[in-house]
Order: sequence, then structure tokens, then C-alpha cells
Amino acid sequence: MFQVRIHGRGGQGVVTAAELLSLAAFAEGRHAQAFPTFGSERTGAPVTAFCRIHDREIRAREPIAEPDAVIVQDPTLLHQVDVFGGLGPDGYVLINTARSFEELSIGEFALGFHSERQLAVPATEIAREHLGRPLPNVPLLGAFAALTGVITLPSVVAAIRERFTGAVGEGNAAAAEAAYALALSALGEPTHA
Amino acid sequence: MPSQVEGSYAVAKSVALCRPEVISAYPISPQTHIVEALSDLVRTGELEPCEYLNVESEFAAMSAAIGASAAGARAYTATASQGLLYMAEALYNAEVAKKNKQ
Repeated sequence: MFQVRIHGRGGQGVVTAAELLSLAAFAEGRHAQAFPTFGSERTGAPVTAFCRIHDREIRAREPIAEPDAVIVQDPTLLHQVDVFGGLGPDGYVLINTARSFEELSIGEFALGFHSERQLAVPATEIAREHLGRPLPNVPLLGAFAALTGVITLPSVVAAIRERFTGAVGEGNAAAAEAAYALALSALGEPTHA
Repeated sequence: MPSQVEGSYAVAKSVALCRPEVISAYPISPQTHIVEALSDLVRTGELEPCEYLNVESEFAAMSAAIGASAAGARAYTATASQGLLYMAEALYNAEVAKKNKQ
């Protein structure tokens, strides 16, 4: 079973990201579930959502305490919320930022993980360019596909088109593809370790 | 062919198969998507005949369901968390009304 925890803020599409990830996995013939935590919901409040992907039926229903991958949609959460809680040494870390892990003051922390399993992607900027709105969730899923290989880019794009139609669907698909390409080139030449 | 849908949508589809004639709704997470999906089914005519009522509170939602049920219609509403708390008074009313009917 592969477990993903997504951290972000209300309004950034955290819940939708987990849902799209599960749709993409399901499209590949796997079992998947996605659900958020329900706190006091308001724009800007810290939000967490979960996605489990497995080859068999998933019976677990509880929040993910020991994720295999963590996606951080808002780097201002890094020193506010325990976003890496329970992440093992083989875990994947994907952060939406135009800065490096060192600049975010987590360079030392990152040393405890495989360098090829960490990635920083300027997802907000990519979304602005392709969608006209600063929604980092979908580009991060494109980067997630490149980083982990748990799901493929075509499945992510299919999930996007299933959920969103018209210009919004096309813009999001383009954003995911751009983030995927950027992530692949970044992983080819690791800039942080 | 299996398909994957949001849990709330699956609830709405199941409710629609029970052919409710009156649905009273007041939004609250994480229940809102159930009554949203039901309102779509009523709007498109997929669920017919059915009267869809937007009410002003959970208390009113259950009260409308009680009234509809007393008049002989199959009624449905949904709520969660604080909404259930606000619905509490009407819940007793519904339970007693059911007993009186039997």
C-alpha cells in the first residue's frame, strides 16, 4: 500500500488533489481512497487530505499517520504544522516552492532522506501560467507522478479531464504536463542533497 | 464494470433509488454533497416526482420531513455534526410521530 498525505491551506485544492490522485490510481486498475480531515473550514486554514493506493481492497479508514509520501502545497506550513510527521527514511517529499530546501531552512532535515526522493516545484507559478489562477494542487500531481512513479502522467491527465471540463480542464492538464516535465529535468540533475 | 465515486454521491444515488417524494435540505459539511447531488437529480428529472425544499435550518429540515411524512409522502433529509445537534428537538418529534402512527 502506498499512502500519501497532502498538506495545504483552505482554498488551495488540497481535498481535490487527494481525490484526483485516487481517480488516477483507480484508472490504472488499482484500489484507491481519498478523504480530508474536517476541521473548522475557512480559506487559509491549514488543511490535510489523504490518499491510499493499493493493489487490493483497502479496509483502513483512519487518517494517515505514517505516509510514504508527503505533498506540501504551501511552504509557509513547514514550520507551523508537523507536515513530515511519521514519514520514514524512504519517504518522498514534494514541496510547492520556487526556493531550495536550504532556503526554506529544511536543508539539514532533508539530509535524512534520499536526495532523489525530494523535490521542490514552483507549482503556484506553473498554475498561474497555464490556468491564470494560483492553484498549486494539479501541477503538484504532475510532479508527483514524475517523482514517485506510483501513477503515470496520462492517468493524472485523464483524472483531471474527468473532473474538469472545458478551458479549466485543458488549463489544468497543461499545468500538470508542464510540472511533470520540469520535475523530470530537475530529478535528472539533483540540485539539493 | 466498477466505478469510483465520492461517498456522498453514492449515498445520494442510493437515496434516489428509494424514490423519496420530499427532500428538505440545509447545507453542512461533510454532508452537503449528498443534498447537492440529490438536487441535481431532481433538477434533471431523474428523480421524479419529488419536491426539493431549501429550508432555513436543520430544525426546519427535519420538521419539513415530519410534515411531509405525516401527509403520506416518503421524505428524506441529511445532516452532520452541529446540524444534527440543532436538529435534536425535531428528532424526538419524528420518533414519537412514528410511534403514534403504528
